[in-house]
Amino acid sequence: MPDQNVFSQLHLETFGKSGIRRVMPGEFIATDAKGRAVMIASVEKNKLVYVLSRDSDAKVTISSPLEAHKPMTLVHSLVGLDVGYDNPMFAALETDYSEAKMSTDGQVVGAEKALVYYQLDLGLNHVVRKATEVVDPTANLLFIVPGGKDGPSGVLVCALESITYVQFDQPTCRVPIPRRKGPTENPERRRMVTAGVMHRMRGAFFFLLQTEDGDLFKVTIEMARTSAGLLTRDVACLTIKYFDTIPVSSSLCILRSGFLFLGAESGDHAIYQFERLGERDNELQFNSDDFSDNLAVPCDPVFFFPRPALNLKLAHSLDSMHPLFDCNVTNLTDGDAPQIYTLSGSGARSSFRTLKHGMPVGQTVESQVPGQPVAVWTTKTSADSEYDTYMILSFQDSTLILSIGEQVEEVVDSGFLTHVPTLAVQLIGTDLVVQVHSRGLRSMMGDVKTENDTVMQGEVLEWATPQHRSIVAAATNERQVVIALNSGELVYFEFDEATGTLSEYSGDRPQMDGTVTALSMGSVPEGRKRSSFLAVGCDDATVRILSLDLESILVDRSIQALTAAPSSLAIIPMVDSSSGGVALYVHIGLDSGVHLRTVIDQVTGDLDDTRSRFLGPKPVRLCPITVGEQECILALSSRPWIGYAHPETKSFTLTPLDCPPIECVTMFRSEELPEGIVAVSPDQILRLSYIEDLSTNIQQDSIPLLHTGREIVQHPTAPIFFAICSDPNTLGPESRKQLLDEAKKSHDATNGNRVETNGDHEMNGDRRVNGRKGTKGSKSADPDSEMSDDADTKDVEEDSEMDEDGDRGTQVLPPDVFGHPKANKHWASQICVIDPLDQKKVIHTVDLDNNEAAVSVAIIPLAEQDDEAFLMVGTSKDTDVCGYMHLYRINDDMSLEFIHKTRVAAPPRAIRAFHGRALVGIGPDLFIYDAGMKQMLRKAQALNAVPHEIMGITTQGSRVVCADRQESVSYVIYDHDEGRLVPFADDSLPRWCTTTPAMLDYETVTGGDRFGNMWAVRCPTTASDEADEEGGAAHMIYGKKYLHGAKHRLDCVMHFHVNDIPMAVHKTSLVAGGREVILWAGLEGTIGLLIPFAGREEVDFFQDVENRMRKEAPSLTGRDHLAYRGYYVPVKGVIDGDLCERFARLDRGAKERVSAGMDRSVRDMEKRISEMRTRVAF
Amino acid sequence: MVFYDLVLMLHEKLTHEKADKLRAQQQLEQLKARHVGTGDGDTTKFEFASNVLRDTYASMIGHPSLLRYTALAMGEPREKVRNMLIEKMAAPLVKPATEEKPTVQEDD
Repeated sequence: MPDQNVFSQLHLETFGKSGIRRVMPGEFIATDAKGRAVMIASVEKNKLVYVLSRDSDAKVTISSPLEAHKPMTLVHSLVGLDVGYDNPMFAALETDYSEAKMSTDGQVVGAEKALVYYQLDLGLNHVVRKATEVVDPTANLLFIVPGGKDGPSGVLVCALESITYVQFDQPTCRVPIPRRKGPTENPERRRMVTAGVMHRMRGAFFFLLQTEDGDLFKVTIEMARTSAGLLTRDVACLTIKYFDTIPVSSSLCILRSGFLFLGAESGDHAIYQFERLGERDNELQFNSDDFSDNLAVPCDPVFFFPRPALNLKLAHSLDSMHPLFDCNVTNLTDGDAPQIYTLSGSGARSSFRTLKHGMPVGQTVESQVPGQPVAVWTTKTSADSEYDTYMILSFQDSTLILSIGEQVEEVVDSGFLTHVPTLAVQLIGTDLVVQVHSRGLRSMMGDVKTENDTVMQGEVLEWATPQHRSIVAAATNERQVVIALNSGELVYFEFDEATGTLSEYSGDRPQMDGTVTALSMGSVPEGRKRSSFLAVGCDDATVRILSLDLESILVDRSIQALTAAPSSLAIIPMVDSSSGGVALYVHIGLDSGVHLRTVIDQVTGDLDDTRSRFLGPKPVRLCPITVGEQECILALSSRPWIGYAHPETKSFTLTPLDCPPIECVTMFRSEELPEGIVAVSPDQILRLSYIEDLSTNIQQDSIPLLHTGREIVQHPTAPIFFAICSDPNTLGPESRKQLLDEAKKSHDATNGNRVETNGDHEMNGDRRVNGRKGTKGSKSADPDSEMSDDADTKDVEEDSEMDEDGDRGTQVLPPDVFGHPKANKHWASQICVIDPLDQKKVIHTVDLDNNEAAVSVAIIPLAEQDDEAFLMVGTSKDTDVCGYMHLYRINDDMSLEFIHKTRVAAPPRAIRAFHGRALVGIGPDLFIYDAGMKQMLRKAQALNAVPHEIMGITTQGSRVVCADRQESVSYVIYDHDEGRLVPFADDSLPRWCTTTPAMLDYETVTGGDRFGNMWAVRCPTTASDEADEEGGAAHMIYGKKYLHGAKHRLDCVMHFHVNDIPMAVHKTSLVAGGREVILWAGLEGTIGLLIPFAGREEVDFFQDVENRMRKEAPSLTGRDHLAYRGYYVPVKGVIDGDLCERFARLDRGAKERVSAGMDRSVRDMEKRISEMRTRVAF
Repeated sequence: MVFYDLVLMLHEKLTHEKADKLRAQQQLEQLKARHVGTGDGDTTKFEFASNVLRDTYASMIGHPSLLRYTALAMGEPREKVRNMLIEKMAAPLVKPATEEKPTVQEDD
């Protein structure tokens, strides 16, 4: 199994079929340390225990479940205790809510939290509730402590500001979680542990526990010693000390090799290397001996100073787009395909990302070459050497020879002809180097070492073309050479081992009908003497396959007609998913810029399974290369592409390279670059580059943002984006700066007067000083302070060696790791102007004050202002107390100039440009605003356009579609004559819209909801026509309502569960000339596509594939596919492409079964499935 | 066991009509205990609403993307929100003073 690198299902035990519910076990799972039992618990009441045993084949068998239910209890955390080989024990953190009540101020009273031990008696085969121990009522998380030989067993109970060691029938010990100390930190705030990991090493163990701020604490348990100094099995104390700060994680894992994996809660995941284990540093350590373990007595708060990491070093990070808030698809670079722009990450780890279809290319050297080469080769001079000796550049009328050594320099005595253009260079046999030029063939034997150590220059042989003939194309490999003359004749040479030279085939020279434009011969297969096929491309738009087998040399085997003349050919063996092994591919590049890939039948020479793709407007040139010892093909058109077998599915994939355009390219092997490529661009620059791996075909560029990005809009003309960012419970930049100024001031004062020690001052003296005394010493900010925007810069001060506590107090730590200072009910919000192309950074920001948070943004071209585009931002004050609409003018340098703001009753969550004015959704009402001198002026309204709150608006013509928070979408018509907005159609199903809906056509919109569904609804044609009639709006207003809703109902045309909350949906096309698709972006970083079917036949085919795949590729976790995709509403009008594409990953037998059932070949199936994707996307 | 039950039921049916009613009542109680949240004619508005809220919170805890969505909106780490939701499940509503005229105050 390991070589396949996939999970396989060993056993599947069903214990609940009714989905994820309150009493359905599955929220918590814990195993016994010795792997003898597993407990599965639900949030409320139910717990199941399975006994695991192994049969004679060492396969795990599982018992029928033992129940340990207790009604009216809630579980917070569950662990399996490490009890060695005693009966397995589980510990659950439970709340008994039978007596619980909520007091009028919202506090829950009477719910007692306890640690409950469950013991599985293996002899009697039943579970008992062995004991309960009351713990801290704020406890939230348990960690097991190693038992048996490794430790004292028991659990760590983590609660708000305390960590307690609890062991059955033993005294407990407790340490507080230190609070952060700093000028911007609230000294009253208590933290809790949100993630952690226990690590064992050579008889010792420790815990790394992370708080909600991201601070890691090292927790150790010290054992008591006897008077003789021997270790006992009793716990002496618990200690805690600050370790390092890393981003907030959802899970941590320490690898044996000394690395820490961080599954980040937002943004990129990371691997850190341990440099130290927090030993012998001067961090203060807190000991449980100093704190009472009495739950009724809260621990005295203790403090630490956060500092840049000393123990952990970032080793690697993994791109993650979770959480993704908004996405836009547009083509800013004028390239062939549009790019996807997203807002992802949260807090100070937010970023604006550009996603491009392309493969990253590494670059080492670049240099200018004289003139524009038309072709480039590299060759070695002997079959024994590993690395290339010469690089040959061919120009229009000459050839340049460069030698590859420590430096690349021109050589004159190489033996190559330099005054003619070269068509091919090849090492043949062991040391025969052949240069094919327009006038003939020059073969150079290797240098021979004679007896007395003098080097004898090798012999040079020339083969000249017949009179009035020149060579137009050539194909070579290690043993064979074929050249095409301008008369259409082919001349074939083969290596003669006896003489060590090339000898011409003596039979007839075959005559082609047209001029030969391209030739190719595969390399000689291992153990064979020749390649058996020759591909000949002629200008009559055909490719012929000729046999080169001894008994049928140069005999026509097959012919393929093309849509244009072939410009380049390459026969290479490549990994093939259909055959399950390696197949011989013929790559054909056409003058029209199309690349074709066909498979050649190794016996008959027939061509089969042609797949084509348009690469660019220029003729395609091909060059075989290897990446990671895998055969690949470079196809050069207006931009370079690489064709390769996808590392996972093994299907042929074409991806553009992310590098400047290439004119000619070849493989290049040297000591530093075993698999390099040398490429010459059209601007005469030669580059040595390499392709690292083939695993990714999407490139991400990231621009950091200071706060969680919520929405983006694009400037109507310039390649600029405007993003609104906001963070709840975060100190705004103003307050941050003020607090820092104060700290700085008082710090300076202390430094200036060192002798006088001020006991009250937080920066001085004992670090464990009570927090109430410090921090907010003086309220007045120093107006002359030189403190700049340090709070906003992400730069770290390099001096991590801090001699005095004073520096620690005023140092500003990078918020992307340490987070922004928290403050309840404060909002930090800003508007960013982002330049994703040239400067690749945020070029301007506008901070919002007044505790406002931006909730919506739009570009509004105002008709009254000569269609000048303004930026309008909707804000929410004090978390939805009221709303404001800000209007900004966009200056020429893209900075924003505030014009005015208008107070409205509720936050405007949706703004949209509409007929030269702004369409704004405020609460359930829809308004049209125009800009006045002092504020926005209301022009039209539709009160209660939707039942709850408008979350998004989209328009087409006079039609407006509003998305409600809970109740799907409503269609509204704008009556120009009367200036009225009239809702006329709504939906019959509640849909909690999270996206601004996208119009698919005038009647249809698509969107996503909070429960992870994508849907499309359509307005009945009669209703649509009626609304657009003359006076239709009036008719709608006074017409009869239907079932307390609008007059008409929408029909659902599509519904599909995508298992991620869609945050943005667009109708767009992703490839040049491709059809339009629906692109959606999900909160967890998914980018998905819904591709429209072209016809009934296609639907039938995919429906059949989907049906068969449900049987052949069931989910690893046993989830029924139909139930999954129809989780809330049965699937309608969508076929699961993800499931269909898993066809490529099936094993050979399953593929055959599916294809045979559908009466098709495996190749044909794979072609149809992959074309569905490549036609419109990548 | 089943056979015994059946005999007992038959016996009861034949002898005590009232006991039959009682037994049905007991069976219903059992079912209600097994299927948490099952109501009957006497369920108060408070009990019903508490159950709905408990189900809602449990669903938010159990569906990862919903929990992430909520945590992001609150600007808190997921673990903290998860714990907070479980704690709210203990008593999601303020119990009205008089059962006859229940006034449901939604907490969220």
